[in-house]
Amino acid sequence: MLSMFLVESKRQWLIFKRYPVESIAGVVIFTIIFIGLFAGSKYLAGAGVHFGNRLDLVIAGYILWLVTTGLFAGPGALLLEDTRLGIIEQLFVSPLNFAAFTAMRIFSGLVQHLLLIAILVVIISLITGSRLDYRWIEILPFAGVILATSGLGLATAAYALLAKQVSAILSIGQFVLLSLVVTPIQSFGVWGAWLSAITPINPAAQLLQHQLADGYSAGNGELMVALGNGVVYFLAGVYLLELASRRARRLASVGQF
Amino acid sequence: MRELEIAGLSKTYRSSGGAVVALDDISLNVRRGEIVSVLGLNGAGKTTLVKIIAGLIEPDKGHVRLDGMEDPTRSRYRKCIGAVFEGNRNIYWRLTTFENLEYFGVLRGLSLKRARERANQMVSLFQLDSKRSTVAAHLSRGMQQRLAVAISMVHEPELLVLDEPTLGVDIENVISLVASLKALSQAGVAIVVTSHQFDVVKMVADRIALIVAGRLVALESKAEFLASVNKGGYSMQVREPIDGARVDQLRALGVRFEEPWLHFPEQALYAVMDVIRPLPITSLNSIEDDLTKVFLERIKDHAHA
Repeated sequence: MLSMFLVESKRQWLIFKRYPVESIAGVVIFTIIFIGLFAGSKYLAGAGVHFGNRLDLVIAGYILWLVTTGLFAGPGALLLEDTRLGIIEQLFVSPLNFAAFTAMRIFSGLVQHLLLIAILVVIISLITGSRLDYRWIEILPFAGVILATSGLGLATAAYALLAKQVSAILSIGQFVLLSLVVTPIQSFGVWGAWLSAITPINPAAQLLQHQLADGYSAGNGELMVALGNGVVYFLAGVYLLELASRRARRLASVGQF
Repeated sequence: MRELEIAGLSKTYRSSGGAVVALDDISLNVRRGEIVSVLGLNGAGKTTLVKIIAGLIEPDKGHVRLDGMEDPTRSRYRKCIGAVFEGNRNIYWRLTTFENLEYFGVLRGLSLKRARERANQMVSLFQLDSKRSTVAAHLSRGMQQRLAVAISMVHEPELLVLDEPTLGVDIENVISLVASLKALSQAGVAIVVTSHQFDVVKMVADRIALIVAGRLVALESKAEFLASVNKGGYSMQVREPIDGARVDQLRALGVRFEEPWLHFPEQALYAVMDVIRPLPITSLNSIEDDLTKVFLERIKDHAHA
């Protein structure tokens, strides 16, 4: 699987290098959207208003949302692309398990994805003057966000494998992800913390936003919930894709549109 | 590999519109170094059979066994098999020839180092040296197909399944592909190939499996299959009209007239030529070679059965 990880990373890098416009266009579009939102809010609030750490929270939320949208859409979009190109049958004939292979692909493209997000973070910081609080401990909730989102992405790929279309889910999914990232479910009364803990992405995303924006020091329990939530949803995504692969073989629908 | 054994395979596709039997109790075997060509009309079940062998479709009944391994989804089975599927490009368009071979080599279980070694070997074996660094999207259809077959062989499988490998490929690339398949079979690779191009089948097949409406109606050596309808003989075409006296003489020799062809038994060849002389003969074919005709006759037999 390590060799596969390396050649898949190389493939994604070569495609990025040969056809850079597609990836860079994403960075440009998301920067423009943020500038629009930022300038609009400033105008509405008036010239004398300072957003303070609320701005940092918004930036942290926006960046996390961008991280999740790419990871969520990746597996389903790649699967449909491979189906269109007539590659998917070759992936199924491989000795590697298809669900494990698809999960591995998310991580082989992760560095590239995060590199583009980092460029965006730098641009946004320069525009807004905001400085987020980066610490090593934040890797844990960040891993929770990545894992939980990947799990949802794998579940979407499972649906795409059987239904052969996924564009509606990917479009609606962006708004669902936004609410999962920015909604403070933990503050919804006495059950809020429990509800947040079982909601995908939410505990990790909420914790990370507060760490980045307020310099919040998280307890071990909060860190474990954030990471655990990610691991559970990731494994659930892999399992659903495995079930979908078996069903596609039974229905003879691998690669058939 | 010693043998691919297919026993009692059945598959029915069910949808809201009803059920379609794709395969009905198919059994056959393919030996090491043998090329079995699966023939049938569109929708006969050829692709379903190939995809079951490759582990892409789960049969309702029966099994495929490769050297004792019965589950085509197992890693060990898959390491032994290479496949090219119909209508697919089977390659990444944005990668070069070499990068595709390297990528799919690793995908098929080779280490990165071994995949690179094999990629170099396949580039030479399939005469792709001049296109080594060409992005696959810029290769001709024939070259792409040659690359797809090279990719299916990169991990040195013992069984190769090919679904319409020469569809849309120009004659030069067809000849090159046929030569590669012959070389692989001589090296001991078992090959199952479906094709509608009978000239290709004639060139490569050792045995022919004929499928009609999901049922295997013939599994014969190529020679037996060809002889099954035409029992030898010739077909002749003459440029000028044949007069009545000659027609009577020819009928007496057993000639059957089917405009613009004359068909007659093998032993009547020289007698027929004597009668025809000096009319110009434009075509003379051994009927044994006419696989298309045999195929159509055999299909007709079973349609009427």
